[in-house]
Amino acid sequence: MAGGEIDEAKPPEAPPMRRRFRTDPFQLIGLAFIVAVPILAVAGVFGMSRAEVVGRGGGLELTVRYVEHLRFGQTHNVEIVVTNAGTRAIDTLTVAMDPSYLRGFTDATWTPSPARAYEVDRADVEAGESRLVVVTLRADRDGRHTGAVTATAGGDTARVVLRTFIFP
Amino acid sequence: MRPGWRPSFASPSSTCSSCSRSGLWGKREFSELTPFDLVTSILIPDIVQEALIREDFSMTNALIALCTLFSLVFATSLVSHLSRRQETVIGGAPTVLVHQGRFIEDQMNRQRITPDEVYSELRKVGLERIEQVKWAILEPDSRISFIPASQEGTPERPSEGHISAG
Repeated sequence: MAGGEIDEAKPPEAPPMRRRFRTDPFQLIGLAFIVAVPILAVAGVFGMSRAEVVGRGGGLELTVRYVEHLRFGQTHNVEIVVTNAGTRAIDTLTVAMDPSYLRGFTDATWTPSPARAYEVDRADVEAGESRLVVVTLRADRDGRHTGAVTATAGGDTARVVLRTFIFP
Repeated sequence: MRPGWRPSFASPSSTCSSCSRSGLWGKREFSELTPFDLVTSILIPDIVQEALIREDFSMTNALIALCTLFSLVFATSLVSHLSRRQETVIGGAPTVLVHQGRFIEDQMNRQRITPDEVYSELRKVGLERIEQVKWAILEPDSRISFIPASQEGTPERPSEGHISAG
């Protein structure tokens, strides 16, 4: 049925026009927002961002690695390292975290297990030694959450402030 | 790669496959859906969703995915507007099925259209025989436009039908 001439048959085509990009200002505003979001996401703005803060107090050096911003439902670890920078051994070292900071999170798991609410004790820390406490948290409330981590041994106290933003 | 990248890259991959659908699959697949087509179209989002958002059910992740999709929809519409070639690649080109009362078998096979389907659409626009058709064109939106054969100098008003599921 189909000959070569028929195969190449074409109906009349639409006339050409100068094709250009035109838009109104309101559309541009919306467009800028829509395009900016994925670009910022690729740049890591909405992702998990880790930070490290260090505090000193007497013979204690407190280093906390935590997440500055993350998204709702994401889980992260707060790693608390306390070093005995003094010359004497520490019998009991107490690491505590502000409940105000923890209110933004759920499913908190402490390693080692806490002795009291929001507090962990570590015993017999020789001079120059470090102890690690890990708190696993799941982001539960969007917004900014601020609170302190405190290490106490004898009369010495080291304190750092954590600031975490949870994207909705 | 940073943690926020996933929805920004997963969305384009699914959009690219959608954009090239006309070119890759043919217009025939986007006419009325058969039950199998319907089930497939329901299953595809379920399968893609897992890769798209994994276990991140935050609003931020949803917003990133949506904005990425909207950006790509706008980008494809802009590209197809600015370039006629891209317009054909993205949206597809019309395909002539019948010319001067004769089927063009090669095109009908490519688009998987049968003469019965053309006749079915022909009857819907009030025509009986293929000889009454000057042009039958499968449009990019999967409809068939019929231009009836007419006397010289008196063009008939074009009619349009829709392909029924085969």
